[in-house]
Amino acid sequence: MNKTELKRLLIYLAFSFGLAYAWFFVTNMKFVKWQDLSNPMQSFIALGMLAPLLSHILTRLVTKEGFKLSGKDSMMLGISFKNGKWIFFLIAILLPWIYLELSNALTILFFRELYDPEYYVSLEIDKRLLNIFPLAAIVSGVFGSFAAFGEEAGWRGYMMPKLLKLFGADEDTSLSKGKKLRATILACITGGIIWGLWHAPLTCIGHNFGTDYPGFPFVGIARMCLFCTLMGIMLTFVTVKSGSVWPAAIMHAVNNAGPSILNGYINPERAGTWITKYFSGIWQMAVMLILAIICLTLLLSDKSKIRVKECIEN
Amino acid sequence: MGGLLYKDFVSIKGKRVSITIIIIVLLFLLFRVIFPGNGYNEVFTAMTETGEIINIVDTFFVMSLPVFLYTFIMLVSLSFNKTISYDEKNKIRSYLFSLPVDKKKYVASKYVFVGILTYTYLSVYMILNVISAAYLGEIETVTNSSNLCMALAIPGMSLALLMNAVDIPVNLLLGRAKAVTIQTSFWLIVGFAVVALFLFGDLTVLDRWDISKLVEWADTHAFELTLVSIVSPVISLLLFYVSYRITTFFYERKEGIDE
Repeated sequence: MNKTELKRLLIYLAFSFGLAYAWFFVTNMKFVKWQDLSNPMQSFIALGMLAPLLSHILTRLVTKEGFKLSGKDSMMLGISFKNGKWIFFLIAILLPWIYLELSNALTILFFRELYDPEYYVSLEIDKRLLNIFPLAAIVSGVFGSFAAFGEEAGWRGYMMPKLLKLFGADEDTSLSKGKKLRATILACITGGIIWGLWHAPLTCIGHNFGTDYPGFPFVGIARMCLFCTLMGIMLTFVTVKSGSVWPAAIMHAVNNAGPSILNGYINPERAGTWITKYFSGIWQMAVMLILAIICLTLLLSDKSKIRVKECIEN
Repeated sequence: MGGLLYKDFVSIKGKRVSITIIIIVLLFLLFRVIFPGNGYNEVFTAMTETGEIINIVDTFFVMSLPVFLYTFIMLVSLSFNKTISYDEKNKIRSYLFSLPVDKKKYVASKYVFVGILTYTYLSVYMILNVISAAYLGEIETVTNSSNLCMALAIPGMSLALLMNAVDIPVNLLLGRAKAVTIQTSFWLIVGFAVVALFLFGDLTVLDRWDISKLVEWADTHAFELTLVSIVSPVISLLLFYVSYRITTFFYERKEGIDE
């Protein structure tokens, strides 16, 4: 294990967790539940998403790694559409919409009691607005992606390359295909757990899953780690393939904006049984798991390796 | 490309600008926390014509946002003009084109630089908006004004892109001196039009102008505003790209360098 890389990673994590936890604490000292906070206050607390970016910059200052914008060991801020890399930007824009709509369709199909054709009315959403909501979410996601960029510049721009290197899954390490797959999976799981734990203060006040579930907040934190691992695999895939953190930032922002029409027809208050109440979200995880497996396979394919090498050489 | 972008960053004194913006955001945050407004602070209140009690601090913070938006839109244009002046003053183009840098790359760098600036200023504006809105009370007029300011962010920055989609080709194809003449003429025409309006126009229009009606209209026309937010960046980006292709086409065929 490369001790220098491990040390750098630990410095980054100390900054990232320290800054974000401090921000979450200072902005919500009374630990008010997420649902009880006003929308503007929720956005204000969410500015803590800029902590990983700040940590990335501070770590590079401390470790004197330099601020190379693109290429190997860089901040991965460059954008290139050459060699078919534009496709990963398109994937980043559309994939969250596809998997959210698909998982919502499956939820309605298997938990029919949740279907409420008038639910959007109770949310005070105009039907015309609901129909164009995915487009609005995508546009606002792409243009207003600064918060998601703040996270991705840290997690995908610094932590994941270090983890891949530490586990021996980077391009420079010559391992057999099986060992490389194992190393990549281990790196992604470790990255997902770290990312999930970083969200813990928010999960503890009910962000993402609320507060009304058995095993609160530990089950929520574990579920967040699982979600972050699956999401992290997809984000790492688009980052490595495009050689830039921008597609990941866009994908993260679009995902956070929740571009789904069917969301306006799923009424969680209609859950009659505990299975529906606590397990209706399982379809989102299932769809994400399938996509994560596809992304991992594509990430480790020989064609992909050649492309990554080409990107680095270019 | 990275080198060309860094040159432009240096030409606008990027480090100093970045530090200034960070300080402005931090000061804005600090003042917002010290003067939290309606939800937390019941002094500094005033009554509107409709009898609604609003907090002056909230109003001050919300009303400062359009000023920031206007300043940022102008800063994008000013920064671009500054890079052109810097290039001409230091004969950068003569030097660049003697190296293996083609004209297409130079033009592209200008468009990318303006794109980066627009995205950065849009992000800063959104951060200021979030900070301002965090401590607002539940007074409808102020909340609606704040929402309107947020809704204007993307169309406002689309306007910045559109302005530069015209400004960049004019500066690169006609040269800085002619571009300045055209810009001055344009703003003089606008100025004369305003003077003409005051001299010969129907000034009752201004009398009827009511900002609260605009805010109310925005609140009841969420669909139309959302549609503008979706369409405006897509159209402006498309026009920005068309402008890039046209500029590249003519710039590659242009003889001589304006220096």
